Amino acid sequence: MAGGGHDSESTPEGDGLRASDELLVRRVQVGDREAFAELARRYLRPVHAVAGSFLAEPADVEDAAQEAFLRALDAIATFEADRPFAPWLYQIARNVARNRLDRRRRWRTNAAVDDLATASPGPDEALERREVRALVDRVLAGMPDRRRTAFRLFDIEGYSSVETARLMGVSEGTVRSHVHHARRTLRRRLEPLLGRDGGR
Amino acid sequence: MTHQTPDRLPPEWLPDPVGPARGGDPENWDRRLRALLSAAEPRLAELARSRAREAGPRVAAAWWSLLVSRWRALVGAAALAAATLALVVQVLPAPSSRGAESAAAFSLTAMAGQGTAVAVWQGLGSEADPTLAQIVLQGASR
Repeated sequence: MAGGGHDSESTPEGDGLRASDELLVRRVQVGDREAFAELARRYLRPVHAVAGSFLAEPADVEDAAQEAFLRALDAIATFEADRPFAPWLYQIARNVARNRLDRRRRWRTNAAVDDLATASPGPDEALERREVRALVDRVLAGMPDRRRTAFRLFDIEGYSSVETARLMGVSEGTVRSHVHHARRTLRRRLEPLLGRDGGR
Repeated sequence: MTHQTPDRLPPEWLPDPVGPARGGDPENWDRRLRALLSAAEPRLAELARSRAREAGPRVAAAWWSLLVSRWRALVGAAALAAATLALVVQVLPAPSSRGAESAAAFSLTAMAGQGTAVAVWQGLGSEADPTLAQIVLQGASR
C-alpha cells in the first residue's frame, strides 16, 4: 500500500490474538477485572481513533470511547464469545460516536445564530490553515462512515491496512478501496487550495 | 495499494490523530485507561454477581437432576422386577390347566369306575379331554 508501510507487531487483533480475545471476553462475562483491563489496553487506542473519525473535540472523543466500552460491557453477557470481538466493539464505538455527533449538530444549529453575531476573522496565516482543515473536516463528514473510518485509521492514526481491516471486520481490499476513494475525493475537493499552496 | 491510488495528503492538512496506533503520550493513555476501569467497576461487579446468582440454581439443578436420574434408575429396576415377577407367574401352571389335569384325572377315575367314556363326556364335556371326546364321537358314529 502506498504510504502504508506500517508494521503489524502491535496489531490490535491478530490471528493469534483472536483466540485470546475470546478467552478474555469469556472471563469478562463473569466479571473478571483483569481480563477487561487487558481488552481495554488492547482496544482503547483504536476505539479512540474510530470516535475521532466522527467527533472533532478531544473531550468528546474521550467520552465517546469510554461510553463505547461501557456499552460493550452492558451487552457482553449476551455476546457470543467465539465471534470476533474487535468488529463488534468497532460497531458500538461507531454508533456511540454517531449519536454524539447528531446531538452536537443539533446543539450547533441552535448555537450558530449566536456565533454569527460574535464571529471575527483571525490572522491571515491561521485563517488559511483553518480554512483547509475546515474543508477537510467537511469533506470527511460527507463521506460514508466506513470510508471515513478506514481513512482515519489508516492515513491519520497510522494503523496498517491489516490492523484497520481486522478492527473494522472487513477485508484488506475493502480498506484499500475506502482509502483510495477517500484520498481521491479529498484531493479533488482540495485541489484549488493545494494549487494555491504551491501544488502540494 | 495500487499505483493509481493518490498519495497521502500532507499531515498538516489533516485532523490531528486522537488515538495513534503507536506512540502518543503514555501518561495520557494510562489516565484514560484508569478512568475507564474505574467507570467499568460497577458493571464488572454486577457481571460477577449475576454469575454467582446463575451458579446457585445451576448447582441446585444439578442435584435435582442427579436425584431424578437415581430415581429413574430405581423406578426402572422396580419395573424390571415387576415384569420378571409377572413372567414367573405366567410360567407357573395356571389354575385352568390345573383344572384340566384334575379333569383328566377324574375322567380316568370315572372310566375306571363306570366303564364308559360317554359317561365321562356327559359329565365333563368334550373339552375335558380331547382324546376322550374323540372316543365319544367314534362311539357315537358306530
